[in-house]
Amino acid sequence: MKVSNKNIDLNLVKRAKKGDYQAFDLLVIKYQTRLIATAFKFVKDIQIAEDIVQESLIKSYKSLHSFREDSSFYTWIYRITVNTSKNFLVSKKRRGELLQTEIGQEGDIEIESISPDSPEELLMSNQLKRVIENCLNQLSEDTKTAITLRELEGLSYEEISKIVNCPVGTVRSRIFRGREILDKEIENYREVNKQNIAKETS
Amino acid sequence: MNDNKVMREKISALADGELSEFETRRILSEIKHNPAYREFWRNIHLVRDLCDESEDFLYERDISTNLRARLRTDLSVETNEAEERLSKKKNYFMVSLASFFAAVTFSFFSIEEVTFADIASQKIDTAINSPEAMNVLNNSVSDLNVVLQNVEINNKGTLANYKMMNSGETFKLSLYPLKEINKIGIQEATKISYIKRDGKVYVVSVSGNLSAEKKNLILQKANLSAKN
Repeated sequence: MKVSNKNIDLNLVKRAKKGDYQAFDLLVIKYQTRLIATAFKFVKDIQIAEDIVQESLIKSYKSLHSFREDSSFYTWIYRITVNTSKNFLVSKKRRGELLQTEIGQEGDIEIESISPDSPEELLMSNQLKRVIENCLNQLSEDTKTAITLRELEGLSYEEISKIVNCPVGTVRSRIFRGREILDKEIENYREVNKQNIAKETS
Repeated sequence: MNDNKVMREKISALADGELSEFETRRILSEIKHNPAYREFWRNIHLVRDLCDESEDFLYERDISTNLRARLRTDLSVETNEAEERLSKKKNYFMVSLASFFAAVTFSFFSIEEVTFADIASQKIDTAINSPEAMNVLNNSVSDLNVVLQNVEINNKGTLANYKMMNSGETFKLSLYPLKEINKIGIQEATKISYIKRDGKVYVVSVSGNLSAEKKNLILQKANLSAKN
């Protein structure tokens, strides 16, 4: 009964194939952070990682017609991003800009776990994580349960409704209510963050 | 629930794959006109990424606006190439049809007229959607401590929303061809200026809770930017 990401995306992919850029835009927003994290593992420079993901997404949009809908969109775009990152490193190696240690004898590329670019960025990542975790913990039990079953277990609304013994519509409302609260917290965090940056720079 | 809440609830359901085909279509068309919905969608996935501990978490990044602009530019280049091909093809058909199929030329030209109209719209689209339009707007606010909140680009013009970092004041800055001046929705707080470029006249407008001095400064810079 789990709702796979593949099925969630398929609807948007079909629309994007018909030329609806908005549908593709939603897929971009959904996956951009993960893809940038993937590219970053290869190139270890956040700006270059962003450029690589941008290139990968452009390639994918232009060749969307060749995407077979029997696989997942994320797997497809993930592969394109990995290949673009590898190609970048290989071309960098050709130009002699890459240290021998960064690329193995057989062309294998060492992948390390990522760490954000700067101490400020690390701080902001951790702060945002804490904000979201605190907010999740403060949700009412009903809301927290619905959100957890959906986000951590990937269960469908129908499956959740059977577990918590309430109508599907109620599950949908509880998840939405939880997301509204989280959304407000994230927006407040961004606002405070912007004000702090402005104070520091003025 | 008001309309805004209803839409947001649907966006939440869309993120979970629990929305009907019909509702999905409606949501997609609404998201186009409301950046707040897009932001809600973004935050839903931010939380999801954070809950997924198998994924590395980087501080939020947003390349979607740049990507949209890049694709717009790339695709308009492709459109121009397609236009050339279409034009060559058209000439070939014109000669052969004039010689041998006079009887069916009327229906042929009907089809071609539609194609010409399409090409004309694409040309207008390319002109006003060109990165230059966005450059003019960005250069107008270059010395102000602002962040671009969102941008709406279509074949009618370019409209960008900015926020002053220090004061939190928000304002809209737009660039339209003169014939689209009615799209600006001029209010008391709106200041406008005209820019002439390549024989065409554009209107640049600034509105929002900014002082008149700041608005004038932005318009002056827009003019300078367009002339350079």
